[in-house]
Amino acid sequence: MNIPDPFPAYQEFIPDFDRFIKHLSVPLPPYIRLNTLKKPESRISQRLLSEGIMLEATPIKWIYRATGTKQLRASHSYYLGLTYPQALSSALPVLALDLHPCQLVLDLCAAPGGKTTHMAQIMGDTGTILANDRKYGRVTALLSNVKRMGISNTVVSNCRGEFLSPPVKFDRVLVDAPCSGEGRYRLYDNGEIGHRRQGSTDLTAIQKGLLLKGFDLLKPGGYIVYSTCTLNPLENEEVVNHLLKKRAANVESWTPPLTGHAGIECWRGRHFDQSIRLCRRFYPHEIDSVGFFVAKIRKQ
Amino acid sequence: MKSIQWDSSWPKYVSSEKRRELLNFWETRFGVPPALFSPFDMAASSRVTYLIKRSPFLTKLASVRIVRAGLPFMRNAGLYLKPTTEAAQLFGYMATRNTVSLHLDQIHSLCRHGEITLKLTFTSGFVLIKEGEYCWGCGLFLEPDRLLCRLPKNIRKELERLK
Repeated sequence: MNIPDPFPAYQEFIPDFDRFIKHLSVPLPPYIRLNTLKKPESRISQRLLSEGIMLEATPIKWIYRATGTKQLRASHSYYLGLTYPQALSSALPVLALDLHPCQLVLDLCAAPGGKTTHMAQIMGDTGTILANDRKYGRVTALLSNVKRMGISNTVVSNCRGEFLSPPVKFDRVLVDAPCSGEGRYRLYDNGEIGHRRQGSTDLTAIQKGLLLKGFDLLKPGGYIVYSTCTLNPLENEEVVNHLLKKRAANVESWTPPLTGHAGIECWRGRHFDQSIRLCRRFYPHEIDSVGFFVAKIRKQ
Repeated sequence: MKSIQWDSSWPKYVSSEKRRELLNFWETRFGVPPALFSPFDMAASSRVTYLIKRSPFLTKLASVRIVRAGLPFMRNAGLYLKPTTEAAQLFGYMATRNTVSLHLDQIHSLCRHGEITLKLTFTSGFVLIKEGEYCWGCGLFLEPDRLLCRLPKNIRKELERLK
């Protein structure tokens, strides 16, 4: 089988590579988060069942694999703000943040709001979340999701993350950076990759800038989580390594609820800091969802 | 309340008088106790009042240029106050009066035709449209028997399509 770019180069670090390639042709299953800010989990699942949507538990609280004939975004529950369709792995960066009620949290690249609303749910809609995104079109989706889910602790701003300069430091910062999205890639029947990101943007430079900015806005002792949905080490380990060189930061270990692998310490002649292995990589064929990279970092 | 140099993009905190007026509306019209709103601050732009979860961090973020803070709560609809769909969905479960319980079929019909005929004993004004324990949003009841749909366009469009 002809393996499309960029995956041949990843053979050296993706476990069970053949299965990974085969899995690219399989559509990813839909997952759904139940919004317990509006109703208890049991009531929402009863309602979904009555709408023809069956739920299957996952290792992540409030998130279920959905089956049934109905599209999740075309259900009554969606319009009542009871559900948020999302990838299972999208929950991982939020879990890594170790959120508590009444904290001040920054979501630097927030749109369309899946992680923002998940954070608000974990915090019980207390404290304050500053949810920022650069693109106005995407902010519209963020605003819509925040109000649909009935969230009142979130303030939404629309500026380049690198230029955001609130006069306050945050307890937690999430940098879910724009990326090439390789973790979402699926193969069409003709062997072509669908949803491939086009353009020649220097994503690594943007990601480095955002991570440095996010880190500078963090309180000492606070956590910043850097995440992407790409498998490219230049957008993942390289970016975290850049932060470790520039700032007094420590990568922290954490225990994810899904099967993950250590960060890569060496790639194409680049040697990263040893602590990079504490970052976690999640592959689509192992978790049956979008591939993800998550780094939990503590400010000294 | 201490005076804060807000960025002009922020809605302004409402006065205690205005807050009382809004809470009084929810209590007299829908029977929702004002205590339900005690964890929230209220801030208003020219047409919309927002509920913002009270937090010591808000004043610290005041210089940030924002698009929106909190959840839309009430809207000035002409001379009247109208609860937003989001507020109705969130707090409607506590309403004890001026609520209309409809079957899904009736809600679909309301969305499709824009209004339905219902014999109710209410006075004219906004009502909360409920389906079992779930509140969908607002309708406008006009005596003696007209119920007008006041659900947002996106919900109306989807409900017309779904069935």
